[in-house]
Amino acid sequence: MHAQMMGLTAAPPPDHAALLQTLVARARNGDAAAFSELVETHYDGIYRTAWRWCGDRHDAEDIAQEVCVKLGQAIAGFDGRSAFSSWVYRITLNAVRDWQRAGARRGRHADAYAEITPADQQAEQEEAATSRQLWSAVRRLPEKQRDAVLLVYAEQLSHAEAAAIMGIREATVSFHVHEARKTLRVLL
Amino acid sequence: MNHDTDPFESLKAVPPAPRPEARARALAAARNAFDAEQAKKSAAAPKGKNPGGRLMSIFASFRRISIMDMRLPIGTAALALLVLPLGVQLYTSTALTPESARPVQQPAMRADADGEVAVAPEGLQATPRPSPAPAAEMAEDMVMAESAPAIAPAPPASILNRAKQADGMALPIGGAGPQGMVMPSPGRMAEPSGDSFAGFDEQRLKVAAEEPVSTFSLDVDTASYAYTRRMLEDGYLPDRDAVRIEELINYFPYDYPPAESADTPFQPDVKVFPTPWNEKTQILQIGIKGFEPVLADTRSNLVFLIDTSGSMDEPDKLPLLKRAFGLLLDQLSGNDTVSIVTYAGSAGIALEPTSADNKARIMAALDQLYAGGSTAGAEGIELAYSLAEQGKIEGGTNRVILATDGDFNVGIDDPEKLKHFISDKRRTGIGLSVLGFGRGNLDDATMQALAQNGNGNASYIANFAEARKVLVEEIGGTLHTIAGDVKVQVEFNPARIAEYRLIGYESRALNREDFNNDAVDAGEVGAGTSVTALYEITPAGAGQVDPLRYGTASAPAGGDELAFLKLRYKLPGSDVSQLLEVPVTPEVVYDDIADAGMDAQFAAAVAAFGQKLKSSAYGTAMDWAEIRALAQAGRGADEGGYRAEFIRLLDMAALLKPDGSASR
Repeated sequence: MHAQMMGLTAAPPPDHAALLQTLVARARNGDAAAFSELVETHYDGIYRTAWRWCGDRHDAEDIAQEVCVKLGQAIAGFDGRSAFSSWVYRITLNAVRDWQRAGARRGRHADAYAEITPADQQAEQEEAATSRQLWSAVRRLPEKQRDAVLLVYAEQLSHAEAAAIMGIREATVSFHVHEARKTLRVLL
Repeated sequence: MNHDTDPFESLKAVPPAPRPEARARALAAARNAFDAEQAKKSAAAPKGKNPGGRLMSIFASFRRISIMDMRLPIGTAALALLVLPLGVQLYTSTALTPESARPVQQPAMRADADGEVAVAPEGLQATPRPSPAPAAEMAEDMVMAESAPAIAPAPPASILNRAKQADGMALPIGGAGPQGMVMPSPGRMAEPSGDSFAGFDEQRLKVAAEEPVSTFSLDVDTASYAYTRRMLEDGYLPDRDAVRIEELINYFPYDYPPAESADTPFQPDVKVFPTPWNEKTQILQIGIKGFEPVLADTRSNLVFLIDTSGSMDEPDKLPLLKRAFGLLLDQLSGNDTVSIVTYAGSAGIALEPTSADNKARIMAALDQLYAGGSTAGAEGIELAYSLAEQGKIEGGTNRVILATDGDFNVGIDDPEKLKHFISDKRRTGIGLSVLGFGRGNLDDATMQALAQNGNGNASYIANFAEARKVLVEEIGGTLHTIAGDVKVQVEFNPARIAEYRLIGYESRALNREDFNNDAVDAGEVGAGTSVTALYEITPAGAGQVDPLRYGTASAPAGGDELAFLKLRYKLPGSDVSQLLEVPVTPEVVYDDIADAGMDAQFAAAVAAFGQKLKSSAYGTAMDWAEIRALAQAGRGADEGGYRAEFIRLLDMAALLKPDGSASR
């Protein structure tokens, strides 16, 4: 039932789907102005997604930039099989994953640093200590569970959309969310 | 599942807005990337490149997703579950398995120095990953019986032949028939890796009167040093067979007189000086520095064959390879073309032949590479060679560079066939070099064999500094061969030299008759590389081997020359070898090693280090402090810092293998 409810509120750039489509088509054909406009409209969303996933302003900025570059390189190959927004999500999530893997390699200093910074960032953002805890707990979930929860609740997508982005079946998304709840009940 | 208030609801909170400057930066970067991509596309368009090609490679990075998307039927999945283990079983039990991984079936007999015979139990399983034995001092005899080394591939016939010609010397290790190739690894030598190394017999003392001629092929590989260094730095002693002394020595640049022209690509430098570890003997040092052409004039067609199996997904493998590649690209120019083929995981052409000045495009193709998946067979190597043929540059360097962490499942699964394939291709003018990455899966013997068959060298890239050495400082040597099939033959004058022993070059020994046979393959020398070979020689009258009671009284002939050095090499593109001859006269004999120069001292120190590290039968009398002092004296200007690094390694080795622990 959750799925249904969320499905209604899901809003991949709601306005002017047709306009978006033409922009994408023009960008794919090499129209620099169209691409520029496309990235400008999507940047904030990409940045926010990155922020939600990693909880750090600097990392989010770096990831968002990376995603923008990837878009520039890959737009010509976007085949329209999936929604443009799902495609952007996928690139973003991959960039986050790469970033975090690289971070794991960078070693423990980065971890130690991350322990401190998210708290700082969130102080600006969220008052409730419980909320802060929730965020860090969610970010520590196994990758799939984290992705599912954040896509469904933070990005407010439907399970179907989340499934398309994650490349898994809808039921599997529900399963991951369910597992996440179980895991979090222990953590929180 | 319903809580009163779903905690997840609070995740809806909107994150802080991006800072405008970050936003502007990202947008600018995106536009640049877009423009670069468009430029690439228009550059590629006239060649009729299918834009679908780009699309495929983009989606390669979402491979996992698209696979999931297919919603494989359960039946297929079940079948896969069934087939995969079978495949692995087949893979591990048949052709591709290195000889080394199989258990040693015959009982291994080894004669100990004291005449004791240790018999390894029949059918003893060779353990590729022996658990670290307690560091407690173990009786050496115990070790002999207890540990069957992981490595015992069939040695080259030439070595076997030599091993059979017993010359009556009682040797502390090895030497008892073919099984004597197996060297016991002392139990305390923890080997934390699954890397495998071909076993080899140490070069033995020869009596100049009986066997005056010594023939070998030059070896410019340095993989053994890089491996040894890595093991020592991690606090382990390398396996004995991993230590190839000539590769340790040749890792370092030496300051030999350079050759003047490409026609005579080198000028041998010969010196004789006292042996630091044995006062009765001397060392004959043969040094060669290859001619160095101006790099800008060369043209190369390079095809990278890159392993993208799942095991490459470690920071010191594929990511390091990507960074190393960036270094290499900076060395290339518009004269050069680069293409990339991947195998295992994702097989196919990642980059069509592209001019090397198109760096952005090459790097982008490289960035798309993603290590994942099992080692699936693919026509990787054939694809790589066909690309190399397609872009072949007459009179230039045409080379396939295989980058792997040890998976040689490149499409031809029989190692022998693979070697033949590579050597056939070599005759058409396309060489092969191997860059080894990571640790734990490395198959050193295969790496060496492939590179040798491909007229290339095998380098082990353990870190970024090493990548820099191989791909920047020694790029000429890595890519451009200035002389092929370089063979060395030294004839000792029995009137002056009683005994001799070649230090290292075990895997490079040639038969005497091979020297003049141009069909026999030998080592290549790259532009600007220096190669060193050391002989330990005993002057006449001081030999340890008793003369034969019934032997023919030798009629020594010929003047005061100590030896006569002959070198054969082929100029690039030529099938006929050239001969270089240099007599070793008393003029090049120094009474003090210090007079022989820094390079002589340093090379001797490296040789001593290698011998001690592998508990050689020779030269272990020197203690670490003495070796260190010698290396210190030979350090010289040391611009790359390599010699300083060696001295640090010496300290490490001294800690891991204290003096006295190895002496018998």
